Amino acid sequence: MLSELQTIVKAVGQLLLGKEEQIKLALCCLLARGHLLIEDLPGMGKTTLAQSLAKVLGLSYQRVQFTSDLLPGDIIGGSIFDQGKGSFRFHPGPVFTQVLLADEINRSTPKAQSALLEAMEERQVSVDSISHALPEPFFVIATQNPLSQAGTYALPESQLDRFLMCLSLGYPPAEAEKALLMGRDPRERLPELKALVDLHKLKHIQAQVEAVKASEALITYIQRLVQFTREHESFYCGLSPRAAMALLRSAKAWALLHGRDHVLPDDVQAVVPAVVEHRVQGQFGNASSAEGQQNLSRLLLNSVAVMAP
Amino acid sequence: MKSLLLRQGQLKALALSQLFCLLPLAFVLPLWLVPFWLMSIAWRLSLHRFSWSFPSTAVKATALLLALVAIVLSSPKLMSVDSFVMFFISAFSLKLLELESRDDGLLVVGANFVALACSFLYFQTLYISVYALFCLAFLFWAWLAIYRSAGLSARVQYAHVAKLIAVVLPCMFLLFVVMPRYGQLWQMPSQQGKAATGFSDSMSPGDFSELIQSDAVAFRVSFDAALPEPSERYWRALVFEEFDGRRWSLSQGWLSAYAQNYATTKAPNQWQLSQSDKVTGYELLLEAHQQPWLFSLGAPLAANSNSLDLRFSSALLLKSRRPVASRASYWVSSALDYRYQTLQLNSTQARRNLRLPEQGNEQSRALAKELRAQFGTGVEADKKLINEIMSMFNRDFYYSLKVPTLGPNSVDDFIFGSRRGFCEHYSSSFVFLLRAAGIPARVVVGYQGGQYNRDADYLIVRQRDAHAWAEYWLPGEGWLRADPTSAVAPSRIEQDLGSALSADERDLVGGLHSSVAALMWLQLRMDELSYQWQKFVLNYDSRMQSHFLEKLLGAATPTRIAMFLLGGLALILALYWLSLFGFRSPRRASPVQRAYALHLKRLAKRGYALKRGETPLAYAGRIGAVQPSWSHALLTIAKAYNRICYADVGAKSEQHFISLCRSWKPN
Repeated sequence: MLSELQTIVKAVGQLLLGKEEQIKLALCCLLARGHLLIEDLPGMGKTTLAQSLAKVLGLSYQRVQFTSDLLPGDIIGGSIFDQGKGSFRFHPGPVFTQVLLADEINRSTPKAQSALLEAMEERQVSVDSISHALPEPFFVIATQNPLSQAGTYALPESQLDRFLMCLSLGYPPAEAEKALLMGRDPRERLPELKALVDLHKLKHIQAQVEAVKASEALITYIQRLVQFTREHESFYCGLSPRAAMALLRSAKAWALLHGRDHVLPDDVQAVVPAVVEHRVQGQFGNASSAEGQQNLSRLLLNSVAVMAP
Repeated sequence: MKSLLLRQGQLKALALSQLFCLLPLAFVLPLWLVPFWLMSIAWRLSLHRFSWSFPSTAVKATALLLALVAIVLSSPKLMSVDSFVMFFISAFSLKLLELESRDDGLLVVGANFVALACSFLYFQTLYISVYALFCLAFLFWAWLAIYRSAGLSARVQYAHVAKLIAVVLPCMFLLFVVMPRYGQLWQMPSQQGKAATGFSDSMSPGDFSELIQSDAVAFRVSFDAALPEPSERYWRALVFEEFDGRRWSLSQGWLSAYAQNYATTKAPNQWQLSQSDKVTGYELLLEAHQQPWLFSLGAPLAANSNSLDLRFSSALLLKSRRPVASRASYWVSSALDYRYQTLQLNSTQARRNLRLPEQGNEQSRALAKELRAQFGTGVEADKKLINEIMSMFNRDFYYSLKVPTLGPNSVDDFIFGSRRGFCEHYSSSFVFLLRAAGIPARVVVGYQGGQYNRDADYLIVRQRDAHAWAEYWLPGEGWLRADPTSAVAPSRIEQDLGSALSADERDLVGGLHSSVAALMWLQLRMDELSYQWQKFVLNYDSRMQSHFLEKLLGAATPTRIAMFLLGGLALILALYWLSLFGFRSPRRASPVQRAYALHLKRLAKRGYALKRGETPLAYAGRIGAVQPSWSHALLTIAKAYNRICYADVGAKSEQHFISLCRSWKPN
């Protein structure tokens, strides 16, 4: 199984050069049944990452470009009158897929955002008081552009909390960029990707993530991390229990990805920036900005002793 | 960077702490400040609820102007501590109206500390200090609330506050002991409209009955040696020589600071004092009574004080150059067995002590003449005459606090009418009769008796112990004390006022209702506490300080004191620092943890300490990169440690790990 996961990382890595860490985190997020938010500038490979992940995991893929005039119906679908049968028939929207790429999620109105977020949380949508279950598995990979905030609706903290992780890809290293420029366009190579696992296998791997052991010593480490954010003056408010669970789940997936059946503090530390930064808000010196949030997770990791004193 | 706004909870914490800090001041400052503060706080708290806006500059300026006018109108003296405190409080209240950001919140917390300190300008009791400590804890809580992230459990909050208090209290104590003690740097205005209880500079019928209902402490005394007998506990304060038929008052000019004052190093010659060697020394702790007179037993021989400017005056009296405006203590040595002015009375004195109003109280005058005719003249006859008056009181009179109102001829009304009364009636009519019979006499007022606190060995004298008695002068004998009250009710002198009264009058006397033993005991303990507080804390002046420091440090040189202060502060901070790193009872670590700790310690000695937040693997990797020869061993140990702590493997591998840690040493 380890080799399968590594091949997945490698396959995606061939399209998205020099971003192995982020690919691993994104994969972890999906394996831990969490939704992923990617925050970066246009053209950094957000879509490529989402598409290639869907492809290698053998999942169906839909993309919705969020704009300010997007309506909830455009995402979840709606009932349309069928003249032949003389009744309303439900036409499923793009949300009925296994991987949904919600591009520039902060461009749409809160109404459309919340329709998606409800689907994320409940894994079902309700139209005309009839619930329609979404396919299994169901992942949302949302992207947002941190710059040019004019005409955007920032996601409130409560909705940010529903994303297990928030990643940013960043510029590629010089070597990787050179290879990118010299080789073929990754977009063209995308259709060539083959599914490396099937649905059954994916569910098996997800079950394995749940089964990764977390010892008491590790749980107390996570507890102390969370407690620190609740007590330290640099944090405007502390991490919620949901955040603590997210941390543990992500760390488990990270451990599995590295071939372990138990979680190490190193696994927790590896996922802390992705899991924690979008959920905390700084105060005083670390008021909310991307840089401040990075400072916060660094502060958190450097202040809490790994082993209980 | 945007400045963060205060949350509603933080605002409430600030408002509450302000309420507590200002509460004592509400009792001493003009009442308009209370609604002023309430309106400000109500406005600020309503901003959230009713979504009002912050008041405009014009509104704030008007409010400030109003406050200024009120200060000018309500303070008797513009440049006084009172008016400055008022100005501070009103500005502080108005600050609430612009309380918006955290920086404002911090400012309010700081001002709260000042407000708390202000209440010490007015009160210095033990109780206010305990209250201030409570406020301090509350202030710390509000202060922390500003920095705290939301939703912290109450237990953690209390722990924070307790920790701060634990650090602050020793620092406070240390600074208290060491900081130089200067006298008062400013003059506190005496508190207007709040006349302290105690007798005044004159006595007319009925004055004492109010006093007797008061349970307030007048002063406390601790004796160097044994306590004098109750019958010797006459605390003299004033001598009344002028009588207008109804009212006894001081001789003119006695109150003037320059009238007959002598240094208190020895009894002045003018007193013509001769005494036996029965001398007693005592320290008297006086409550502020806003008057210049002081209290002493018998004939004072020497007196000194750190806070009062003492003077001996005429008639064996002790007084202060200025009214006693705050608690003060002084030490006196008194002769209990003495005679004074035995030789002769100068003519002014004789005239003053024989003078009666032109007319009035005719019956009493007639009685005196009759007695004089009966006994003849001469010292022996005088003594008989006095005995006769005393036995008359003993025979026909009753001790009672319920006295009918006496008319303009108060002495006649008393002797021939009601025949019921207490000390002021007896002393007054006794002196009147003596003067009418041609014996110089005068009224002395002060306190008599006192309650002895056996455990703490001091005497509490309360207002209800106020007493008036008499002195008369005989040639060759000097001034002698006569207490006509003792002829009527000996138990008033031997025990206390309560025992001299019938049961139905007892509740007229302040404090005596505490016949319940437990209450009495509690009252004594409370009094003892505040006495010790006064003696050791409030009276801690430069003399006591150097004495204390000498005892503590051997010699009170500046170097030693500085070392003591810095050393003490360093010790407190070190203890605090230790407590940050878990200075709790060390939990017994498991063998695995101890072995790993040993491993870490060995590496730390070589300069490779574990960084905070570093995982075992990262640590091994970091050091392995610098010391490649150790790399393998370090990684093995780290992996083994991880397996035990995080993968739950059995006891067998624990043994292996422990021996691994013990055997490997960095070389």
